[in-house]
Amino acid sequence: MIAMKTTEIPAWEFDDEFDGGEETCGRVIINLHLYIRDQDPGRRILVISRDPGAPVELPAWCRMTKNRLTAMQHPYYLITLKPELMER
Amino acid sequence: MSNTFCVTITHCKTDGDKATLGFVVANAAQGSEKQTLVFLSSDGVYCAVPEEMAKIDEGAPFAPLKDLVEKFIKAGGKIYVCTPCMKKRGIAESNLIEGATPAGGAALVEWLSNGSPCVAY
Repeated sequence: MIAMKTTEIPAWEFDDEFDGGEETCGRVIINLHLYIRDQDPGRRILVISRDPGAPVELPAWCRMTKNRLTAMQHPYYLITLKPELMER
Repeated sequence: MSNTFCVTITHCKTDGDKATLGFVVANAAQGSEKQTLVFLSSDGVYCAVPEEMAKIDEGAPFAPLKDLVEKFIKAGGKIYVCTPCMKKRGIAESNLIEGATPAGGAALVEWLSNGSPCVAY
């Protein structure tokens, strides 16, 4: 997946939005984790992170947590929560 | 891929930068759904003492250590505090932040022996 940069929110459909602000590294991850942990599988979250490390960090986080990185155009990331749990 | 992770921290008063970074990484691990243990030893035991952790603030882009520790505990992270290191410094269990547990080397060895990766600060 190519980490294209954009200044406008892509025309993605999503259910909720999480803005990581100017936070970086573990701060973004722990705040995102706490934000989504009680949400249902299948929900699509628009994650905004201006952390220059986000194009590497968020795909790694998705691989570890089995959330799906549906699309990314830094600083915008469309993440589908735990699709495997939804499909069971 | 292991589902556990460990961060050992040996600094607080002696190096607030390392103490802060250790908890940043611990938050990244816990937030990535790794059951994460922070093992505090040597000077690092002060990271679990509220009035001492409150003194560590490295400034932007880092959050104050107190905020990092509290968020780690809120997310379900585990903190073990080296008992002889506490005793040497006159720190009692009642001095520790709620959520931190006095523990010894055996607890750390068991955690790592079960396959947990570990990073040291």
